[in-house]
Amino acid sequence: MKKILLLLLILLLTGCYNYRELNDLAIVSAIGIDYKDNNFEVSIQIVNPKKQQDSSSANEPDFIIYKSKAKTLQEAFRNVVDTSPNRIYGSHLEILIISEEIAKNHMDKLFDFFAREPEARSEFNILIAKNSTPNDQISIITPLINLSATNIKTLIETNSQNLATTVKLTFNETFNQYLNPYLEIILPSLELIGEEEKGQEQENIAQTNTNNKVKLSTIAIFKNNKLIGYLSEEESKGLNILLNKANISLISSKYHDNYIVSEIDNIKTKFDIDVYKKEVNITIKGHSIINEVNSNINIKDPKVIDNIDKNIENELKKIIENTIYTTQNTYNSDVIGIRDMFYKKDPNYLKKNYSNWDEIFKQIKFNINIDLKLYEKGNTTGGSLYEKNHY
Amino acid sequence: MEKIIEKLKKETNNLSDIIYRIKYINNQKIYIIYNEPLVSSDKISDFIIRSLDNIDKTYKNKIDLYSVILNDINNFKVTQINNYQDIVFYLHNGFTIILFENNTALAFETKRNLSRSISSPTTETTLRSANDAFVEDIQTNTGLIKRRIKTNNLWIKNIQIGKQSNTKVSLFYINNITDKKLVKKVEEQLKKINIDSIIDSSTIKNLIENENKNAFPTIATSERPDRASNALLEGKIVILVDNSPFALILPNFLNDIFKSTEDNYGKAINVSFTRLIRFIAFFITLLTPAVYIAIITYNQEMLPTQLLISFASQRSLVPFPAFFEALLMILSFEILRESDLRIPNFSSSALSIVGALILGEAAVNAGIVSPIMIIVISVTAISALLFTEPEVIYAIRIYRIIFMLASAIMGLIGVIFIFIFFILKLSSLYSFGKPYLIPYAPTSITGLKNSFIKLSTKKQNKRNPYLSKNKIKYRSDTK
Repeated sequence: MKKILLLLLILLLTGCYNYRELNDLAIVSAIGIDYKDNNFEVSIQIVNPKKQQDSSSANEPDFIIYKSKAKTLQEAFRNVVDTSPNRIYGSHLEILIISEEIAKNHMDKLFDFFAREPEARSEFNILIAKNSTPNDQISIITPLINLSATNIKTLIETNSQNLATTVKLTFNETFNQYLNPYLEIILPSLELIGEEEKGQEQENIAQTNTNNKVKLSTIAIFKNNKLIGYLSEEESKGLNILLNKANISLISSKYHDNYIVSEIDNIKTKFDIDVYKKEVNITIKGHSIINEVNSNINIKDPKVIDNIDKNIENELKKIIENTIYTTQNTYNSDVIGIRDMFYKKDPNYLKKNYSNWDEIFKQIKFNINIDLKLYEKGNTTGGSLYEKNHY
Repeated sequence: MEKIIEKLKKETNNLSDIIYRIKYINNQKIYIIYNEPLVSSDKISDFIIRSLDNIDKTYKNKIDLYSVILNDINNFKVTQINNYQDIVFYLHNGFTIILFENNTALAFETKRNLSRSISSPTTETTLRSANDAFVEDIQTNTGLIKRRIKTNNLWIKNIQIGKQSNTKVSLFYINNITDKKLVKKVEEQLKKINIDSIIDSSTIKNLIENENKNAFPTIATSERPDRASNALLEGKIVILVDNSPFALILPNFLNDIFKSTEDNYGKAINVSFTRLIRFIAFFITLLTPAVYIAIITYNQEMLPTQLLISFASQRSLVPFPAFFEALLMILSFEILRESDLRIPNFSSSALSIVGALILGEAAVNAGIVSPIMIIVISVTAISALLFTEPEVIYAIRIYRIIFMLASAIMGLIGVIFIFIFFILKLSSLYSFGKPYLIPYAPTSITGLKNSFIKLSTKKQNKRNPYLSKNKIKYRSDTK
């Protein structure tokens, strides 16, 4: 018994360090950061714990936005305490939305603050507010998933698993891209549809057709840690495939007069680099499934299947070529990570040519090999139109 | 003769329960002495008085009454006594004593049946197994064990303990299986006992185990003869105490609290699953409140966001710290449990309604506890009820509170800290010289075959080497 008492006394020496009752915490789910007039404008989305599942709190909002502003990020976050009665608790941060202004000029400050903050979990996603302010985007009340942060996070998750038009990156991964001198940052972006004022009212989710909502947009391209532009949807798909981040994507290719839509999955991209010839051979392998056939063709015919297969491959090749062209020429930003591959292959070469990489990158020749295996055609064996005509 | 009667009357303060009847047989005076509450009057009149009358009629000449009575009386258990102490002893054991003029005496067994008949067990119920339980009478209990183990090797040592109660204590073991040193050790400890009375077997239990050193029991109690027999065959010792329906089984290990009698009869694969559930329940009942408090007050980042939000919304109306909340609920549950054990059956339904209302609906509505806390405490409480041994439940309860204190002070680190302490404490424990954590530490492959999983009966063909030198218990020649 004496031993037990002694041990319990040792426990008391810690003085309940880090004790915080759940009631005293303001759980931060999303943060929006904007930069205006030499000031950081921070809006913090806090989960409203009083919102219960019962009817008595039906009118309570699911989350509350606190705003503050200061010349540095830390000060801005501390100033929130002026308005929030509870301590800000950042471990459950899910979404960080930054304005284009931040993305263009203040990425360094942002990374420093969030990497230094011990409480923030490094699993949150960063997005760029494309056509409105971050504050507006996190304030929108969303249906189905009540908490708008979770809503956005789920959007990214679902998109990367089904369409791959945006990129799913945690803060940690983005920070690694930032620290690596041979890589460029890419971030997903977010658009606001409708009016932001109305989107913040409870009536927004009282209708079946929600007018005001957020929509995932395409990948934002950085160069030297500064935002320079956005890819198109097709190019985003291409970039995801090149970065081996796409599991499943859709490709619609023209066949004769109409479209054939196919889903491609199990995509694996391999790079083979020849440093001195400045040549990159890209091999993309994967499976494709026919999802929709609009033309009057017989898919039972092996010849037709071969044609379709080639068609899909060509379409994918076009997408990849477009993507590479855009990154190479339009933005001249090495988001595919070719520089990193060069560095791993031959560090000395890259060290010598580090300063004129932009020029080298433009000269690199890409050879694209695509090998897709069509292995599923769906339930109607021949194509519905063909079956109907040849009944 | 008269002197003895005088002495007896004086010592018992002329107790009216003791009947002294004078009878003249063959013109010789004898005393028939018996203790009325303990004897059956039928037996006395049928077998003793009638036999004596017959003797009186048959023998007209002067005879040696002592030997004639010894031979002719219709009773199967006769003891010859020649000192005063024995007279007293047999008198208080329900014997009828015939005292002769030359101060010799004969004692005839005329016990009244004071114990209830064999009924089904109440504290260790099973679905499929023998349904008899020990009763208060040690003779019946001995019979119940002997009926299951019919061998000369079932050895019994009888010891009288208790200066006032003179209780019969029987130590059972199987001679060619049980460790001799263990038997000797236990026997010595039993003989050392110097106490006024033994009313129940638990008195012996408390005297021979280190009562206050540890909360977990190093001696198991059971009212099932089949469990006692199984333990004997494993190489354990069973102690039966007169007037107690609970046999003591020793040594007892931590692993034994996860076993139930029924496990011996079930299919190995199904038993293994049940065992796993008991293991999980053990840790649930030990750790759930502590881990919940730690997560909710220190380590909120451990939870998925959705769950944290749900916890926060449930806790938002509760003004107390989580630790106090948990303590309050555990306290009220323990009060409820204790009162449920004590009150007579007819008021238990009222109790359960009040309990359900107070612990459930009303406490939440009043904002004293959060719904999640009720779930935590319920799961904890239900899991504890899996263990039949009350001592185990109480031991778990003590450690649960220690875990909770640690988590309230240091969070998850505190829980881990106390958990290490808990394991150390258990592994430093011995049950009659055998490590308490057998077969986990020290590891015994044979023992592990019947631990958190149970292998098929064919594969369990050896005894635990820590219990018995006679290892082979079953040889599976048929395949």
